[in-house]
Amino acid sequence: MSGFVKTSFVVVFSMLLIWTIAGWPRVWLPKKDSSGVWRLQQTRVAKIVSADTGGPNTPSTVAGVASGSCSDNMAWNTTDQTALTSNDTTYISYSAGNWDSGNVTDELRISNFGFSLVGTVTSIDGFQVDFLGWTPSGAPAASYQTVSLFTAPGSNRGDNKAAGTFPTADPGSTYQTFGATNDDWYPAGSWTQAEVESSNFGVALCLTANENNATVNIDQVRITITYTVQANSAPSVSAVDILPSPITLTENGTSTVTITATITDTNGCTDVATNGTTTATLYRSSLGASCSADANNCYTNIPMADAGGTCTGGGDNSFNASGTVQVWYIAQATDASSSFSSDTWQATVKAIDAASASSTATDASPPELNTLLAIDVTGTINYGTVNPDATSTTQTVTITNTGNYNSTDATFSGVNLESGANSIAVGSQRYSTTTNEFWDYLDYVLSGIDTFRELNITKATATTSPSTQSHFWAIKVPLGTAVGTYNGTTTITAQ
Amino acid sequence: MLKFKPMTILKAYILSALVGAFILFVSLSVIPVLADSVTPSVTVGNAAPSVSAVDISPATITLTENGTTTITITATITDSNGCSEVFTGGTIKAQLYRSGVSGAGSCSADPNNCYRNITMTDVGGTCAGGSDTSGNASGTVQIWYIAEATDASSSFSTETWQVEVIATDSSNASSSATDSTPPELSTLLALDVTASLSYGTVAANATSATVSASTTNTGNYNTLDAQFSGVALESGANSIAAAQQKYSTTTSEAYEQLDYTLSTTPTFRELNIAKATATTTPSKQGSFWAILIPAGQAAGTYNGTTTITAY
Repeated sequence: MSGFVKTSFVVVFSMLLIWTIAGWPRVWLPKKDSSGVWRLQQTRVAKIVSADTGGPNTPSTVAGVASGSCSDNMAWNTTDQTALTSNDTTYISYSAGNWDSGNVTDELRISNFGFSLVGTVTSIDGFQVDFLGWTPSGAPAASYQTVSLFTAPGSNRGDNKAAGTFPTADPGSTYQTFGATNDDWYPAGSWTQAEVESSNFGVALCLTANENNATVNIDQVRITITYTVQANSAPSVSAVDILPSPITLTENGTSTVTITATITDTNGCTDVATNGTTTATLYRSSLGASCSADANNCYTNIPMADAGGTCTGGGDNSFNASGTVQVWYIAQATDASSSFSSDTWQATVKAIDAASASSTATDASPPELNTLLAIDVTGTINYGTVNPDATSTTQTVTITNTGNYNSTDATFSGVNLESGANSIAVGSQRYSTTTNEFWDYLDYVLSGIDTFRELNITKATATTSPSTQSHFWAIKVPLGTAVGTYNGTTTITAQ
Repeated sequence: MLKFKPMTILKAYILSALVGAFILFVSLSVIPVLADSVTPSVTVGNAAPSVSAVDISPATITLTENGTTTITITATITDSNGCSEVFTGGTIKAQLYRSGVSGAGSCSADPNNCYRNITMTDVGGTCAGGSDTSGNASGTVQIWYIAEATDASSSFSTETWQVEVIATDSSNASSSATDSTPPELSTLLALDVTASLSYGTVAANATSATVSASTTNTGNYNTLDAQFSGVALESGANSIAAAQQKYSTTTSEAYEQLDYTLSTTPTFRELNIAKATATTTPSKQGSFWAILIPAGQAAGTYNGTTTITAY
């Protein structure tokens, strides 16, 4: 064996071994990832097929038309267009009393079977047509003259499967069947999915009388289609993106975060966009996509839909999905100053197609969620009516952590209380951040300059349970203060 | 081997420090910090003013006969809402009255015993405004000579003259106080008599016609009497003795029937002239006088002085 042959043998053997292990056949193709970089990735190119059936379906339209050899001096009674949909006591009849031996009925064109084949149909493999009828006038009163499929009434295609005679009594539920699962009645060609799903698709029936004054009842007609569909391929998710970046919260409320992704399904984008689902989970990254729903760090089942009708159907395999979620102010920060500075906020987008196949992807450059230092304070402190040189009763003010910082402090400052040209010095107010006491014993004198106080108000962990702290305020009205209502502003800034 | 100059290394350190500081600043500045404000509100209530240090001067009120006497009332007004609440936005009034008069401070105006609505104002700008809570108020009133005496000899000897000072602020709150050491109003024994008696021309050893004089009670004593005395009437070196004059305090009669001979020594006569009760209606009484010119009296116009002293 030459060296070239040996080398070739080794190469071929190795490839076969690799393909056996990794799956047959796979090739490496470049593909642009979510960040726009072209990368090599595996793409399965083999077509895997499976057989499926549609039906049996029954018709919604029936008409009798004299056509060619199917022509008689009588007419089918087609008044009831739904007579052929079920095995019951309503029939399509041919019974005027003038259908004599050797006469062939008008062509009964039975259509509008309402097929909607599932999946990507690769071939129509067979038709089975079932008739349920009899000739109440006598035996054997009628024979099949035409049993032929048509693409539209009057446009018969392929084989005429007519054979045999009609039953002479109500057959109950015993159908006379024509065709088979592997017989498409069209040796010269093939059917398309669109043709059989068309409302014009149907079967033509003509019968020959075997006696004079014969009659016939047709109770039900149904068609079963056997077809082959391309096996389902799982959708893929790419270009996952979270906006805005970084995520900035809204104090005491929610902020809209938008998640976008590109969904691709080789079975057609409608396999996911219309018949499947796309959802996302937004979470603090170290928790993973399997996290339990929690306003602090995990937002699940975020519905995503085709944004802007990018899935055009037909051969379109991809669409842009988008969804929004309202992230609460208590969501945990991941920025540099936070307790989770090594985390980000990540989104896992999951696309599920009509066959329940799915895949997921995450944002390649997930955003940080910023720390929000925010507080909300009771809107007013009403000290009531206080005489000069007297002190008010101590008022309670509630301060609420409306951000996501876990031990929020604050600075306090105020201005003089004014009533027209008169004023009460800001320093007449005192406050305590811990204890409800009389004015004389309150801890701090309010200053006109921002003064830091350590509050350590924890972050709320549930949106229904705000994290609050009570503060205590009182005022002493100086001697010589004129009568009036005095108002001021006290500013408390989260720190 | 690479070598670096020390300055190059120093510059590198400085640059690194600046970059680090910038990164730290940026990382800190991205944290949004939100403030909230609260609106404190207090309604300053009205405190009623207070009145203190009420004083009436002079300490003993001495009237002016047949006229008025200025009485000054002072007080200190304090208002916790600021003295201007009273001095500028309010009023200070005083009622001066005999302490036992009906109604006391609510007495009806009467020059005998009740002087109302005496306006008092800030004297000397003692209320500085703003947060100044007190000032000195002062007011005067003219007390008529008929005001009722409260001294020991009077009918109201157990009483005094009192004042009630009422301070009202801009919110119509008020308070009042009185003088803790109210003064007495002294009895004023005073009368006024017709200035001259002209007996006319009377021959020697003849009597004049009886002329009348009017004596008015110009004080506040209710049964005023008097002492009468006189001196000789003189005309150069010649004179007519005071006793040549006679008088009566009740009846106009001829010289011989007049009751009293004028003496050079003050002689008490009971007149019982009532105190006037209205300044427009003086209380007075007539007296009747005549003279006998001694025989041999040289011709001339003789003048003298007769003194009637309230008693």
